[in-house]
Amino acid sequence: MLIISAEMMSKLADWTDRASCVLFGDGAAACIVTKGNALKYLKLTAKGNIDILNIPLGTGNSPFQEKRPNGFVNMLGQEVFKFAVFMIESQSKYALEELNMTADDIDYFVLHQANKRIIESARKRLNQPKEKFPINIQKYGNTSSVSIPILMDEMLEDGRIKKGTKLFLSAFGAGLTTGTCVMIWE
Amino acid sequence: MLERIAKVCKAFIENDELVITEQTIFSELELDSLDMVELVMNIEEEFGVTIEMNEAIKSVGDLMKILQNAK
Repeated sequence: MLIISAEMMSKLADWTDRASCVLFGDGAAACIVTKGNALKYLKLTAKGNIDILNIPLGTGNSPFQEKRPNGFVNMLGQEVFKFAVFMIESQSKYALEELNMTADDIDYFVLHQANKRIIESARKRLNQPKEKFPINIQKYGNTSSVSIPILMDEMLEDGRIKKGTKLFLSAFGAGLTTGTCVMIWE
Repeated sequence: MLERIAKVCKAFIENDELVITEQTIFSELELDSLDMVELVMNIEEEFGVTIEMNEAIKSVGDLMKILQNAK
């Protein structure tokens, strides 16, 4: 199975807002998934909350709706931060308990590269060393759904990920949605 | 309550010598907006409550009022 994702966050950022437009980046990733035993845990959630993170859609030239142009990425930063950090901590506890593992057993926590402070806060709550929390947001910005695959590709290239590496992956996004998985690389 | 808030603040800022009173203003502790979120998260865990981030929390006194109303 070939899974592809492509993101052009630059089209969704407000380039008149210096504070937010610099946060995002464009990117794409492709991954071939085959039968195997690498995946040990998978959980997806959605809260049905659009208030704290959304991209308002425009109404085009519909005569039946009040005209509204396409919007930009819109978020309540503090609430997003809180949601993300609590989510990483709680989802990791659920996942690792189910697998009879602890955070100490995980080689790398590969987290969605939305914000370095989120990653650092989660790391402290999990009481784990920095080396286990790879970061590349400084190179690419927040590339949405491709941030984890881009990071994993770099880690495969430099040998951090190899056969037997225990990975905890966690991402979140608008919805509010979360995805968590644990895998032992094959 | 003040003693528990002070304990959380000192642990978060990693400074046992800090003097925390009801009048303490968080911006004077050099906490940015994300530091405040983390501090509030730690306070939530200490007191077992949920605090909305849209509430104005400028001082320890503000935090105490919110915690009293949350009970």
